Amino acid sequence: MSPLVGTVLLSCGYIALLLWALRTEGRARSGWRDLRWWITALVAIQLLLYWWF
Amino acid sequence: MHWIDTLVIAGYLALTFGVGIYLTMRVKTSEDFFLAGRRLPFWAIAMSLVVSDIGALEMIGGTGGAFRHGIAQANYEWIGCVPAMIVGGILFIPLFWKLGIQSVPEFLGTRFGSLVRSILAIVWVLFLGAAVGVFLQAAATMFTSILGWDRWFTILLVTGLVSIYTVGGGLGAVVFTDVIQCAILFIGGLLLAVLGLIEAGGLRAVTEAVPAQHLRLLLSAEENPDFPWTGVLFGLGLVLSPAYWIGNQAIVQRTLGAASEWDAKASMVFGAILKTIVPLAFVVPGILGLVLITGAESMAPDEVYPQLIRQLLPVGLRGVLYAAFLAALMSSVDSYANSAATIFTRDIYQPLLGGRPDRALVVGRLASLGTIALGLALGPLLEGDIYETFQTLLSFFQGPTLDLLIAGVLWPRANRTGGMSALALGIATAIIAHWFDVHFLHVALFSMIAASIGMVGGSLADSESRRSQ
Repeated sequence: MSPLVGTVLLSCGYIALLLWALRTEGRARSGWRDLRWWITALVAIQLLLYWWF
Repeated sequence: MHWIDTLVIAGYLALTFGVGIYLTMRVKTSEDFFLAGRRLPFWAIAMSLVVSDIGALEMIGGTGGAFRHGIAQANYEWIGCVPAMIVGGILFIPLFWKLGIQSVPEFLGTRFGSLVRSILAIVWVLFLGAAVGVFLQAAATMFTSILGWDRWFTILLVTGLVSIYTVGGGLGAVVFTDVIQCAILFIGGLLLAVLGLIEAGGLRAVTEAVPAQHLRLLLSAEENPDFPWTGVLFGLGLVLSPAYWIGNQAIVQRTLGAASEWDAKASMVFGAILKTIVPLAFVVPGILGLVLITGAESMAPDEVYPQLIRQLLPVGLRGVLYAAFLAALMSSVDSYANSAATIFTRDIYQPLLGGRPDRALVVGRLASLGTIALGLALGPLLEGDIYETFQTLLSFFQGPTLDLLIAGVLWPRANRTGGMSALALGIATAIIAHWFDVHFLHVALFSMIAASIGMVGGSLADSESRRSQ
């Protein structure tokens, strides 16, 4: 199987993970202590890395 | 070794020792010892998680892996850590923290009974003790070759220092010495990567000089049988990584000592951010080795990192990298000793041997010392095949343990019969798959699927438990 299939599957998995994490975490804290920003940044970086390489 | 490098190493050891001794004085109760009095901030836990995961051998092996396979080696950090740390941080860790448990087998015992708890506790204590022995022996061999240190001098220096602050200060000392060790590890690794990139003529020069396959993260089995993307995604990403980040006592215990539920969650997410940076320190130098080392084609992968240190770093900065090797070794040994002591005290001494809770602090300290002594005694016996066999045995438990954790948290109908069925079916499948030489990343996936079938079948079949629920 082509690694491109892997990249697509990984991206779908990450987006699902992000949506689930944002919903589960909710607005528990504000400002820099809001973990939803941290998780969004992490997932964005991962997607960027796996599509870049 | 130059005297300035020796001075840098001595400075690092003195700082670690001082912090360890200071924190030893703050331990008054068993909760102070096992969970650092539940006062740990998120950033300290995150740094401790990351550095405990990176051993001295991983520094050398990770760089060597990147030299051979390219950037695909970073999958162990990115797919192998980030998703599992997010799921662990949002779902599992807050639950464990709120329950106030001290060990993973303790949680599984409350869901699946004392037999499951005892089996996993005994397996983990033996594995952690044996792993301490292997870390010490393998790292001593490495230090002898790189620094010219005597083998037993290295082993006794590390065990002596680690014993004092781990036995005295417990988890708090382990975590805050890990913070120093993490800082040194990142400073050293990133320094080597930056100086290497400058020496190689910049990023563009490197990407033009290395084979195209070295710059691809996901590879097919035909391109590289060591990194089939199916195994990386499903075996590593879905099974081995969550089993490690959610089910490994050495990882979970730190988060249980968090000052608040938010700190417990944030520690895992911040740890994932640090894990995203780790390949810059250990994968980039491996790729740079292809460009910078003359005669790289004939070089053994494990020689790349030491060679780059000698080639790129001036006196003094070399000492920082050598201190980073020691830091990586010490953080692994102290974490494993502390975790083995926690499991022994909470899951073996108290429930199985009828130990008194008021003796937990003393027993925990003795068990930390016992784990290091066990490692010292077993180390020389465990080199080569025996340890590989032992590690293979542990890997048979990874898929089923993850299944128990997921079902234990997410499926209210999961019961004791389901737990035992999952353990039995998952382990049997792993043994059979291993027997047929299936790639270890796929073994993890198959054993997890089998354990899930066992869990569902056993839980639904046990009508008595179903009625009682």
